[in-house]
Amino acid sequence: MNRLVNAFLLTSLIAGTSLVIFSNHWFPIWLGLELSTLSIIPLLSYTSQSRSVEATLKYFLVQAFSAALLLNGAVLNLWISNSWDVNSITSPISYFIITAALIIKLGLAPCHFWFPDVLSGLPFLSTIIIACWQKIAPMFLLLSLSNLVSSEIIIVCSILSVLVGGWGGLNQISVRKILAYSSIGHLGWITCVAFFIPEVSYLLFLFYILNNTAILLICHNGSLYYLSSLSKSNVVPITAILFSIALLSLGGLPPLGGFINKVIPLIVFSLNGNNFIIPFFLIGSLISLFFYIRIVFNTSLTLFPQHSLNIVSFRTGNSSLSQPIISTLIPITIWGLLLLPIFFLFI
Amino acid sequence: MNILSAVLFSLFFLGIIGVVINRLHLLSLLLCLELLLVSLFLNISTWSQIHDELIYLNFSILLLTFSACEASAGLALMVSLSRSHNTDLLANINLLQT
Repeated sequence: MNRLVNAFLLTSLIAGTSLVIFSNHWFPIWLGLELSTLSIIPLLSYTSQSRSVEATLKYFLVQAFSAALLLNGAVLNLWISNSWDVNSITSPISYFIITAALIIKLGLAPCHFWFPDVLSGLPFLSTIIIACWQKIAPMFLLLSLSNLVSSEIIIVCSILSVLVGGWGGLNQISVRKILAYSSIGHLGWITCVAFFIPEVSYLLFLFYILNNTAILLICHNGSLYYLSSLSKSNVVPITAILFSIALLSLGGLPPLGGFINKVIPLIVFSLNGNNFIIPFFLIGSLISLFFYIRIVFNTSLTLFPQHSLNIVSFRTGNSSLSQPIISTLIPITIWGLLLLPIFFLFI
Repeated sequence: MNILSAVLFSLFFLGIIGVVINRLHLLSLLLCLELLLVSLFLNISTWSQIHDELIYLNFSILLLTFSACEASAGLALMVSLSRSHNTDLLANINLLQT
């Protein structure tokens, strides 16, 4: 794409998200959400391939609908309380409508059906924008609303998300769909703490973004679009090891950084006495760990039946810019557990 | 909350039903999306004139501008989709299923 157009669209994307994060009035929030949606449409669909155009269309329809629903909730609150301020949600029905709109935007279950379809139609650099950057604005809004009103809908949706993220990713052969279901499951883990201590969810969200970006960049570098191409991948072998470490961190294994995403919600639940819902989260997390290990297995530990000329190939891959970015993101998965004491500031 | 706001919110609700029930054409989906935003425009304009805060009429026009941008983006996507899929029917937009 033309560099000037690309720069302009990325600038307006960042501007839209910043507008959502930094405002107290409902109108700039809706404006920022619409701006980020509109500026991302050319970025996703400029190649005019059928799958990209269809994914962009589905993404646009879902985001436009949920932005209108969000503004409707804000206007309902306006009629009841005469205030446009975000921090003055007085009616439960308007809070419900706004939360429903944010759940559709984020892709939490039970409104997750668009997310695997959209991610599986886009090339990996676009999936980084959709799965990581576009979640920032609705997540910040959801967490700032959870500061005011604690409602059980968040917990119900997060339990459903974790279970859907586990069972949905089991039968997939497309790596993008697997990562989409893993993303749904992770958002379930992130939002479940929002019922108790919303500030901690920001930390979990940061870990999720860094981890997911690293994995998506490695997949972009090696063009790992399907499970069958995992063992024929043409990445440098150290990247295969880092890929395995990043995936196991995403699954939440203890010495790696992704364990923070699992241990902090468990601590918060047990401190508040809600031990009953913990097994639901653990079951969903275990099932998603299974398909992460399946990806690791197919990458490093096995060889699909293939032509013998394909077995050894040490090309560096698609993009030379992603190697240093991957190298800076991976240490958070290795040393991330040292950041656990930050959580103890909030208890 | 009087009958006027109830009528305007039921207009928005009709738009939601139109988006959800629609099964045939993409263009009717985009039309119902426009209905959602126009009903919000009417809602905010009415509220601002009842409660005498006329600055929000300015905001309503900004809302209408953004809804026009969104409609044009949706139509451009529909054109691009009909170039690649040769159809407008939602049943034929099924490349991304498993």
